Amino acid sequence: MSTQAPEVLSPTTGESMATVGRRNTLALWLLIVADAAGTIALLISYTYLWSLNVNGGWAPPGAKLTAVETNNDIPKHMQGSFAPEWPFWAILGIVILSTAAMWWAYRSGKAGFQTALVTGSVLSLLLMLAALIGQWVQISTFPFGPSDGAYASAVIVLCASNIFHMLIVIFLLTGMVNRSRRGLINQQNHYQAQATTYYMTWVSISVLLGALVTTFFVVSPNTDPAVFGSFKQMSSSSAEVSPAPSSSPSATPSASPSDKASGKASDKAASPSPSAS
Amino acid sequence: MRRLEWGAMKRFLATVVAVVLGVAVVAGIGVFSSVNGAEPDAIVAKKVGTKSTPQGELPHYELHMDVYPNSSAAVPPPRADSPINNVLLSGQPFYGPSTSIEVPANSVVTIHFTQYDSGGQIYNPYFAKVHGTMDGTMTWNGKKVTEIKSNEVGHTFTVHQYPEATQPDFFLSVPLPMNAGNAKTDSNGYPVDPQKVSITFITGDAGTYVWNCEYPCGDMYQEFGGPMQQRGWMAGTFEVVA
Amino acid sequence: MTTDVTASAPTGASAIVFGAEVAQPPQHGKPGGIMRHLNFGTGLLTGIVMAAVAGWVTAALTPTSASNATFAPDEPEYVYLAVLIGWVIGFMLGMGAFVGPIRWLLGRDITHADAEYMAGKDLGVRRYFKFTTDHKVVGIQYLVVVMVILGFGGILAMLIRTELGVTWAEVFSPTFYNSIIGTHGIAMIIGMIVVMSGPVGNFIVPMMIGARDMAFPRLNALSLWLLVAAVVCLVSSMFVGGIQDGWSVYYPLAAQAPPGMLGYQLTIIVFAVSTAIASVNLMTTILTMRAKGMTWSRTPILVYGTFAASLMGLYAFPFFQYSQILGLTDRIWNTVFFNPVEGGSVWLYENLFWLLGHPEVYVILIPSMAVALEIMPVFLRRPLFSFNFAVAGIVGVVALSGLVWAHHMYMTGWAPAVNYPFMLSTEMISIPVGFLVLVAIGTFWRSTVWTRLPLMAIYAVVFNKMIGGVTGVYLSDVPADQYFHGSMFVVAHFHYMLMGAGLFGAMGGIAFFFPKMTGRILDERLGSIGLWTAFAGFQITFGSMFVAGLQGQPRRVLQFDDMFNISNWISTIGAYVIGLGMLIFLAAIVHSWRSGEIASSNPWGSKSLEWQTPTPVPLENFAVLPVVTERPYNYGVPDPYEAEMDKKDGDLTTVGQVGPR
Repeated sequence: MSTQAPEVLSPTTGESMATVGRRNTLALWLLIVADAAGTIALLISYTYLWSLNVNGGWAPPGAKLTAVETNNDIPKHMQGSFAPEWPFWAILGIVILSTAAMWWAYRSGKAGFQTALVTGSVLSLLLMLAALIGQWVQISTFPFGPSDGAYASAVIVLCASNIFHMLIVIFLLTGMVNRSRRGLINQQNHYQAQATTYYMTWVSISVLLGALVTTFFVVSPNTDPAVFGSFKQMSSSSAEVSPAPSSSPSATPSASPSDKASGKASDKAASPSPSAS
Repeated sequence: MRRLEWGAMKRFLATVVAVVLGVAVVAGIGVFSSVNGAEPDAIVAKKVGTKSTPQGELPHYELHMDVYPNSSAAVPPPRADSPINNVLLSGQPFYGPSTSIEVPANSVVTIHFTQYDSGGQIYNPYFAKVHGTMDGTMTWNGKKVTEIKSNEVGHTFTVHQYPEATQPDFFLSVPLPMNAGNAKTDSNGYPVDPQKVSITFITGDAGTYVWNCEYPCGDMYQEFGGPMQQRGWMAGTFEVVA
Repeated sequence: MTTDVTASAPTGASAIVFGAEVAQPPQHGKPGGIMRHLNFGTGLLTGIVMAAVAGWVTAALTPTSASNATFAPDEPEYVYLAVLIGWVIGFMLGMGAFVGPIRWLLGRDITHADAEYMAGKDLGVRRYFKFTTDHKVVGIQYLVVVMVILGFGGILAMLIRTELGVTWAEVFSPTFYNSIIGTHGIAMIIGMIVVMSGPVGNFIVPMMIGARDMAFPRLNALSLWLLVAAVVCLVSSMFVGGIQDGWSVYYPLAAQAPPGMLGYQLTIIVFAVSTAIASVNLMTTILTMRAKGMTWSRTPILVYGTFAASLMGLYAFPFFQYSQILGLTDRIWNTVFFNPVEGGSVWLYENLFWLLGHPEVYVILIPSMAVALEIMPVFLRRPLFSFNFAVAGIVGVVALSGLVWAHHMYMTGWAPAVNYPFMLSTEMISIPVGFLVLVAIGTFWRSTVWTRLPLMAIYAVVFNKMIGGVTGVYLSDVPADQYFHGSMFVVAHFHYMLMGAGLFGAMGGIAFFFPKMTGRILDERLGSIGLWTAFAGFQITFGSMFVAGLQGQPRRVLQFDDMFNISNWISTIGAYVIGLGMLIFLAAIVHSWRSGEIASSNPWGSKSLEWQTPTPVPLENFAVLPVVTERPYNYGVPDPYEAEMDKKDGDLTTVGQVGPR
């Protein structure tokens, strides 16, 4: 423990650093309110779509298949299923470790142990980088793409939100490492380290919330979802032909009755000639 | 005193300048946008004689429209109202030579469509049927039909009633059959033997209507975007003039 | 930004800051560093270059034939999005927005001399074209930017009314008409959100609470220039198909829209960041930097209003922002949030949108009502009638504002069972809003009226707000809304609220604070001619629109039945009159700013702190920070609460807040 130093003043406003620190911390809490509102918007989107299972489109296509079906020749992109749960928790674990390291660094710095402050910041930064890489690996190995249903979309965007948070934290921690190494963050002037730990705590909570919904809200509870936005009912019964005064089958170009969407896709694939319709 | 007058004069001048500039800016933008978005000249129906109808002997008019899957060297694209539409709509289907149609009131009108595009399953089979023509039929490649298969529709020509109390009701909808994907095509990619459809209907008193294609054939933005929303492509006006 | 009153050491180990010797970090280069070379010009240049490079690279990387899940060609989408992102990052880079964070990262802390340079000390007019941190400069910059945004929206409004003069005028193509409707809507909403909390919130509020600057001067500049970057995105969308789906861009319409929709989405995403930053800054300033003795009961009502608007913006804007982020990923990344075929829901969009959409109405209204209540005691020379009720009104609006959003969705079919709870909460919110109007009327009651231009605007606000408020109660009623929903009645109602109350209140606020902001008096004759011309035009336009709505004319529709021709024709004439009035008011502003009568430091004889500073206001606002000893509105007639408050604050004298009574 070093001795009590004279009060540090802000070089730009001449106020006590303690005052500046309190003001900055308050502003940080307010920014966290805004950030949390955004994360809540994502969680609402996730749970809303999970609870409705609109058109039966919540689960990725592969998750709806039976075990027998998945053994058949189903195209790779149709085999998507729910994401494994453990990576969400593994990433959360790394983020929490990183936050704990920063807390330790901050507490040590506040108590006057400058080396521990630097070491803790470096450790925290490395852990957060590991979490970022883990998050990236998780996104790139999901058994589905963004368009494979609402679950896939919601999970991918939740993970993207984690990446966004992690990048901010990495920026802050890089500053922490550099500034604590230069002695700009020290026993007398430590509010930035404190603010960083607060923000990291919020980031941990947001990752936790993501892990909770992706673990406990997986299979939609709505087994009898509203079916709309699909035109199957119309297309199935619409193959009846025109009994006009003289219908002319010979002149009618024959095309198999097909669902609009698949017809569209085959059009695209098969005929480069006039096929805009 | 003199200074005060000059001050008042300056104030008045500032006001006049502000108002004139403001009006000029609004008018300039308005005129530019109006001219830039103007549509090509209307197709005017030509008189070909008279025809007897339940309402008696009425003058008979005709006009021709073509439906292309896309523009080509032979068929230039319609004029777009913004530069991005030139890019977005370049490969999209359109009606030609214009989508503004002018027909006379209280007459018999025949429209001859030449349809070069392909097609598929229409969402709403109601529009695979013929509505609003003289005898409820259309002539498709020389044969009279009242409907076509709902999975063989290329486009529809559907005139809608606008919610106006002062003009007569008018509703007309005909499906235009598709060309097969493997149809023989010419060097521009258009079928050499396109689908030909003719419809004949009777117009009432003067009125202004809009028409559009009811088959979501714009392969963009969930299929109802792009050409489906554009005058000059898959929508237009239908004016009955006295 | 703060500064010292004596000379500071240019470089070195310490500087004198407000009389105290303060240790300084090392000075790198001349004060200001790289900021000396950055200004609006470099911002524009970098923005354009980065936009062009990003667009070009994206075009080169995207196969021409690539298309997304709904068959839209990818190339125009990707290129336009890349151009927008390149523009925003490049512009902010060129303005110097990233200099602070990078210096922080490198450990090169800002010195007092740096801070003074960045606050625009001795830079003259140049400081208005830089990333200047002085709250007064930011306030003026906001004022100009807001006038540009409102002018842009106003031009579009004139075009809309030209088209709607008679049915089938077809002055513009239907797609262009749709895009001017949408762009007008969102431009005006953005303009109205910042019209009070931008210029007045930044310029006046710190002085009103006796502070030397905002809590975070660089964030202040950041919020302004982010707004500029966002508005450029918005305007650019008009050239790539426009925003054709109204300002609310509901799905699936937005999914079917041309690439202009990306301009909308990026505008909102960037603007929400700007708003969050500005809100945090204002709230922190108000919470932590009030002068000594400025207890909550001595804090002026405008400060409450600004705080309330910031708070609502802070929690509500992210919902809007995320609705657009999800829309953007739907468009670019083929996610399916709003695509029902694949498991998405358009109601999800509507909920996220209106979770901001309704608090946003109060973000616009509360500051302008607060400015009205701030102005009235000065011109009626008496305390606000029941300050506590005014505060209660603001608190009540904030508390209820987050619970009313679904009244926009009665007719969408989403959860009909909750229509009635939402009807109840919406009708309840008219009670706190009513408080504010009653406080205004109570203050007028039997007062000695000193009618000057700012007060005239308040007459207009009270009148318009009553009409807008009463028609709003009808709309909040589910059975009545079944008829009114989607009609011109709705359009007339929200124009009475947002324009009639919001914009006229802002005009009053600008007229009131003009002498402090520019050092000159806003020409009263020209200003009042402009104001009353606009007011008359306003009644004609929207009064007639109520009639069209009652007759059943749907909104947003280009062609309509002949039976609506007369009311539309009258509306269009009224709109041109508004345009004329606004141009006259603009002429008053421009003329007065250039060559108006020089204002004394306190031309209205106001008692609040911002008027106790000299005009033009020195960089540090107050040579000595003031101490507040009185409630804010003790003019002439004693405040009935004052005696009671005196008992509570026995230790402080009541000789006068500051300046003469």
